[in-house]
Amino acid sequence: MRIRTQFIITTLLFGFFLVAIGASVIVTSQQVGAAAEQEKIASSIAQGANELGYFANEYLIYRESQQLSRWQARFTSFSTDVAALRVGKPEQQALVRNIQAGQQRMQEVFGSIASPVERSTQNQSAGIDAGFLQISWSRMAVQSQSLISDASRLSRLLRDQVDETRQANLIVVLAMMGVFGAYFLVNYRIVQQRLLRSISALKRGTLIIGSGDLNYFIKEEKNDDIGDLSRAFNQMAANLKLVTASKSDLEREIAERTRAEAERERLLEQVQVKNEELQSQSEEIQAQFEELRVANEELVEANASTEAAVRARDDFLSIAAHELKTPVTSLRGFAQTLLRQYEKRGAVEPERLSRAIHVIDQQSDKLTKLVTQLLDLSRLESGRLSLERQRADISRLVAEVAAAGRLHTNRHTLFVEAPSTAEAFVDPLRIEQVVTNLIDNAIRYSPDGGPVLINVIASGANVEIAVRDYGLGIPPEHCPHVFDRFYRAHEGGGIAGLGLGLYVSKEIVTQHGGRIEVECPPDGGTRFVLTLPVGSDAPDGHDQAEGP
Amino acid sequence: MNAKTTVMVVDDDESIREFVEWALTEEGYEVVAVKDGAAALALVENLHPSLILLDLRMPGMDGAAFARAYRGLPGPHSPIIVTSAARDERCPASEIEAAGHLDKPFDLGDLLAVVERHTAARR
Repeated sequence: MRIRTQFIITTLLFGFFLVAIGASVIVTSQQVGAAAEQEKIASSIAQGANELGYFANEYLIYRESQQLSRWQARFTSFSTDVAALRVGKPEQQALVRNIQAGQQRMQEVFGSIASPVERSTQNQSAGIDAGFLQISWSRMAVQSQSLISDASRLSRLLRDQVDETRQANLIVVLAMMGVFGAYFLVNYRIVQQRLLRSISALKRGTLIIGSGDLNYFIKEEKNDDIGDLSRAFNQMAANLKLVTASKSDLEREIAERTRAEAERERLLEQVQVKNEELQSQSEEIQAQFEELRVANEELVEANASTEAAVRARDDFLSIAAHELKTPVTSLRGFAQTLLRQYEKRGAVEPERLSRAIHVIDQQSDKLTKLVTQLLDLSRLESGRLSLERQRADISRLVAEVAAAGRLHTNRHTLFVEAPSTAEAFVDPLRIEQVVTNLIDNAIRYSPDGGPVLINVIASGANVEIAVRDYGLGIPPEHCPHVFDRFYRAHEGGGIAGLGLGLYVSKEIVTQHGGRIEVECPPDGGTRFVLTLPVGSDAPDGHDQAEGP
Repeated sequence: MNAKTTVMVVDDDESIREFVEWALTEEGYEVVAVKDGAAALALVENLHPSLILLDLRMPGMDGAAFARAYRGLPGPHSPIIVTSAARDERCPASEIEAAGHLDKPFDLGDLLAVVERHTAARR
């Protein structure tokens, strides 16, 4: 049976009991009310009997109609009371019958008394017998007492009935309550036991399932709440099993995926490592490539510089050839023209002859200088340029070179400013060569003529020679290179030269332990400054040529 | 028309100009000698020389520059004989459209023969 059903039954029973108790109380109270009413009537009858006796007595005494009518009125109400008596019990009914009989007898007695009394009253002459009166009074008293006694007894009986009824009702109520209570207790006990048993089974099942045995099923008892609970529990266990199964599937899948992920990570790591290796290899290759590139660039550069050197040498050879061939052309031309003149005419005009011989001499000198420069270059490059140092007066040397220079130009004015003497330990021929070169340059690069200033300054350990012209000057971008081999600042400008003069000069000065510098004064032209150490007779290690 | 044939000599070397002028004058040519291309260009239009002896390496306007400028002028153009110390690769005779070439140092006989040959038509 379901607990709910049980509860409904219990509730219905409880209601039934309540209704029964209520009904019992109502019935009882009705019974009690009726009994009490009857008891009151009985009491009233007792009282009426008493009063009727009393009234009859009075009438007997006074024998007036007033008392008679009072008695009759009282008897009427008394009769009403008697007629109202309704009792159920035999004992009570017997008493009622007694009372009714008593009432009868009382009326008869009083009638038997009243008639003689009335007649006597009407007939004044006839008196009332005293004995009669005594007997009548006694008869009335007996009747009255009998009625009182019966009525009182009836009243007591009714009171007892009320008490009994009440008691019976109480007993009924208590009994019903007892029965219900017992039922309730039994019921409660049964439900409790069922619940406890089920809870215990569920608890055991929970523990077993909780321990992991998902195949455990608890016994499904009956088709009631506990059965439902058991079924629900088993259903839960089954679901749990399913869920667990799917969970374990899921876990297996997760494990699988985790493993796959780990594998992927491992592969990724391998790839990473490979990638790093490749990266480092790539970097190495890059570095090697870079090295190769640098090497290549160096090669290209070296090649370029080699090419530049080769080109410079080619250029130099071309220039050298031109420079050498020009005086040779002139020499040959004059010689052949002279010869042709002589062969044609047998003679040559003296002016022509003189001029030709002069040019031939000039060109021979030019040729000699060129050859000397080439020889110097050859010596410098092979380290065979040697100095023959001796004490020399630089002032005199410069003055002589300037004087020679004046012979070659009539458009330039050469000014020399020098101390009377400025001695230095030098190779005088080489220094003369350098100074000649500087003065030649000053003249050559001042094609429009002008002054050339030559200064000699003796300053302690050094002798300084400065050559200043006001000619073409040197473009600033060429300044750093004027002492380079084969370098010609005015290349293409048509001014002759091998590009060797300043190079050879610098080498010579350097071998003397001195230096040569070029300045480009803002007012035009060029200024070369040659600084030579005064030196001493002692060997100073500068007398050996050094390769370029 | 002048009876004499004019030859223009363009060379920066004074001694070369001098002997060429001397030698050609002796042979009956009118010789105009200048030291660079600019001077030659200034004269050439009015002079209409029968022949131009042109050096290449010169200060100022060099031989090649003169030739380009000269070819830019309205014709007719005189033949040019390049007289240089070496056949210059950077400025070949073909660019100048030279009629001939005399390598320095040239032989006087060769010079006279070349001039004779290129001026024959005009004589």
